Amino acid sequence: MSEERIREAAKVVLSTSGADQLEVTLLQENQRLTRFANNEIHQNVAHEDVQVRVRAIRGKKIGTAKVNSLNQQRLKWATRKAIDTAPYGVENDYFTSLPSPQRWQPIQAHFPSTEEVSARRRADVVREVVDKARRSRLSAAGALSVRTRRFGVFNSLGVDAYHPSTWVRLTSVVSSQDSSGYSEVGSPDFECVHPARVADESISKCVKGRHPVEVEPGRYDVFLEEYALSEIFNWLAWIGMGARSFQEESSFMYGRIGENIMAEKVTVWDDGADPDTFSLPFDFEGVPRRKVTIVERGVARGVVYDTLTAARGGSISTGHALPPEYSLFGPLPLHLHMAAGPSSKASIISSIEKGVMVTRFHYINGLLKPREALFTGMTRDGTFLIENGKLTTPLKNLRFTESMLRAFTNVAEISKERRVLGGDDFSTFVLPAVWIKDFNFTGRTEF
Amino acid sequence: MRARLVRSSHIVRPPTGKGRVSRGNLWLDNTVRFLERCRSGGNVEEYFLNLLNDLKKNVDYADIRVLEEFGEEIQMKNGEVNFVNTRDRGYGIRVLHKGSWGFASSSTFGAEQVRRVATTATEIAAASGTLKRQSAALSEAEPRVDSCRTAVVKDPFKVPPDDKVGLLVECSRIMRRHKAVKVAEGSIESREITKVFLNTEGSHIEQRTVVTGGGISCRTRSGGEIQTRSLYDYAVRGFEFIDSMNLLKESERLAREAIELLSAPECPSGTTDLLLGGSQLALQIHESCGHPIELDRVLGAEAGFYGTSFLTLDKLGSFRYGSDDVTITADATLPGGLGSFAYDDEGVSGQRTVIVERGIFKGYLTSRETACAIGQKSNGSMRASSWSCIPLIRMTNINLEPGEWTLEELIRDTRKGILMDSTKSWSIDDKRLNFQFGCESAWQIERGKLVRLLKNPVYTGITPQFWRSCDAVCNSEEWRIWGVPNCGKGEPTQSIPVGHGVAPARFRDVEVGVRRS
Repeated sequence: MSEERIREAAKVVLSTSGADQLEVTLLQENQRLTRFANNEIHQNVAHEDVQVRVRAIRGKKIGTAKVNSLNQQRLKWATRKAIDTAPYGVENDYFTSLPSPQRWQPIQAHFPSTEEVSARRRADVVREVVDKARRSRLSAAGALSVRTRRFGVFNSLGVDAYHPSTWVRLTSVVSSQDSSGYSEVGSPDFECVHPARVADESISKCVKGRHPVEVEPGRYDVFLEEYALSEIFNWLAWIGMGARSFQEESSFMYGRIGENIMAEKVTVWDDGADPDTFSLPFDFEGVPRRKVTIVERGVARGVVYDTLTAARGGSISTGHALPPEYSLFGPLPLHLHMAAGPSSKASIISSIEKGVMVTRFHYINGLLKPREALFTGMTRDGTFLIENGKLTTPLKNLRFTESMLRAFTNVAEISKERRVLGGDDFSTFVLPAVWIKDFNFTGRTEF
Repeated sequence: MRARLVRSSHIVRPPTGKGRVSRGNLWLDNTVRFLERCRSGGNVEEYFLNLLNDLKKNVDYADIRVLEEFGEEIQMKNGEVNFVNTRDRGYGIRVLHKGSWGFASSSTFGAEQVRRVATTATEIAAASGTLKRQSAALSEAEPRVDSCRTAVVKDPFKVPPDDKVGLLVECSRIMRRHKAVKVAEGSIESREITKVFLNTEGSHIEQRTVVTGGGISCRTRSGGEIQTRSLYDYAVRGFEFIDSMNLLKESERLAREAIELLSAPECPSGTTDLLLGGSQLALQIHESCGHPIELDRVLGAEAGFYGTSFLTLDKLGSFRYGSDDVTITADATLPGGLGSFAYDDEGVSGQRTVIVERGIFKGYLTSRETACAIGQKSNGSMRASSWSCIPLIRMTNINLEPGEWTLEELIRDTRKGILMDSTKSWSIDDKRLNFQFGCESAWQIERGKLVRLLKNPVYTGITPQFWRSCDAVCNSEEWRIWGVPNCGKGEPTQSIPVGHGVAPARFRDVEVGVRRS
């Protein structure tokens, strides 16, 4: 689907009469996904779709409609539906106008060769992982996802933003009878995905993890690898880094701006323009995504805004609006970065007298006490005891229940290495590994 | 009690038969009209039926699902309203070629495009075949030609939008009359899904499903303390389901409870008898029984993402999953259940399967392919969340069968314990053994009486140990189906509606609260 076709569709919507203002977002996606398990490909799919979202403004009331076609009749249906349902809404005192055009910096994020990767080529990449696992008498599972996205936002005030991008993600979980190891890589360019490295890392973890033993739950120093941190950041973003939760007073940031909420070593920001991520230079309102510092040297600095929450908060939109059907949930940071530290992962581990290394967390939930960012979750795919600076013993998986404010106040070291993680939806994070002291494990499981 | 488990009367069926599709039937004319709405030239045969005939010559098996969905969601927060209309359509073509699967889907219709998508599916299947350990085979399934629809009392799309918005705004007003209520929100959601399933074995099934649901919640805050009370539910029914939820009346109750929770004592930590109310027990079954009985998960299909299962094949038929009081069924035929349907996405009829019988693990949820692994036929559990996704094994309505107790008797019979209900947080390991669930509210029980409200209740356990500690389940009077609209599985994640029929139950010596160290 061409840029021209997307622009033509936008014109059909914006030329409709009956609304004070109109906005249309068009998201054309093409995803090809090869899943593997038990050392074979078991699910192999391709799908293409286009999502068109229309917002119609009538006074201070907003109507929204969504359709998945560029067919003129369907576009007109969506536009008319948005216009006709707007009056059923309640006047929104904070709504003043759709955004006006703003300058944004284009990012080179679309790799044509990635878009053209065939099913055979995907199978070849997966085979590299599987063959290595087989040679180690292990079982590989995971997925290779190749996505192409063409995203456009247009409105009747002249916003005209279009951004094509590609993203490749390879994940691998390699398992033995009693252990497993995880690894992942993501890039906008297929050529930058090296399956052998992914395989080696997950195989190495799996082999080291054989014959795990139980440890008593309790407080331990932890070395959280980037994957584990990514699961935590997903929830931190969700419950507290957007303006809605802040304004509704449930965010762990609420009432704490300017205060120390984490260790001085911790700096966190959101940057949708980083070309190493599944980038998004503007949001679903067509507002350029600003780089927003959320925590600076441990001090809470601010949250991200869309137009509506910015008006409510007397601020300006930072360009973090989600699709209009999520407007009551509010804006979210989708490209979180955490600043690197000075030391390598290896040297940090060598400094830990006794602790637990966590490769990855499973099924974290952050709704226990959002103001404290009290989370629970399980370790997964590679948990090890650290003794005298070395990984000595593989461990059966543990459950943690811990306040992330407390945990990030106890950060002792941050690695200089960082990884780009995620990309299955709009979100990619750039994160290091961290050493956190006194982390609370509250339970264990049988494997 | 059994009456509620009888085959649904909400599904209206014409006479069922095998064989080729004929244009003579009224219901089939509806199908044709639906498919014609999806086309931009040519005719139905050219698009799908002839395509299947062609595919049949080249592949082992193929099926096509064509879907169109109309949706309307009204969201409200503190009186602010978001009104979202959706129209979504597309088709997915699944091909089994030389023992390997390929799937392609598109929202673009047209003869050339449909053929291209079919070719892509076949090419993908060929690529899958280059990394194959064993050929996929399908268990037998009788070809079906059928048409079914949800019978609704009150069409949700004919209820004036003003009435729906007005109901939510009034709920908000009632909750926000209380100063401590910081956030009052709610939603009403209606979907009508028309789905046509065709396969190379001669099945041609049309299903129209209406889903209605929503609810309300309120959040209170005092200092650093935040409390929430909510009520959300969904069903395969019309707007009469929303009417039955009494949202206006519930608004006042929820607001008062959320306020009371702010000053309630913290749930203690330790081991005690635990009573679970229906909505929390629905989640307990969902996470600790529904997911581990998915046979694709057991066989490793989700190892790279959502995880595997402790209910390995060697446990089938002999493993003590729970106590004698625990009988669990999977039942896609329950009237109104959110996991109810006439046919799954392989054209296999929805059915009732015993999963756990008096504590012994007896059955999995299966597909045509996975059923072969245990020498069975599919029990009709394959569903996709949309036209764009490949079907996976999904829960239907997974139910704890009722026992003999009333809730009043159960409380009276409990010397010391805690009654918890309404899910607040949920977490379970990747084999579905260690879980920790938090609830919105709890009541302390002393000498057979509810004595005080407790806040921030949490309980934890290991799945089979927990279910073996169950010593009482309430009776059919207390039994009802809860709709869970967003069960997640697969890559890309497919969110699908499922149901859980439950009555409150008691579990002995459960660890509650968070372990301090």
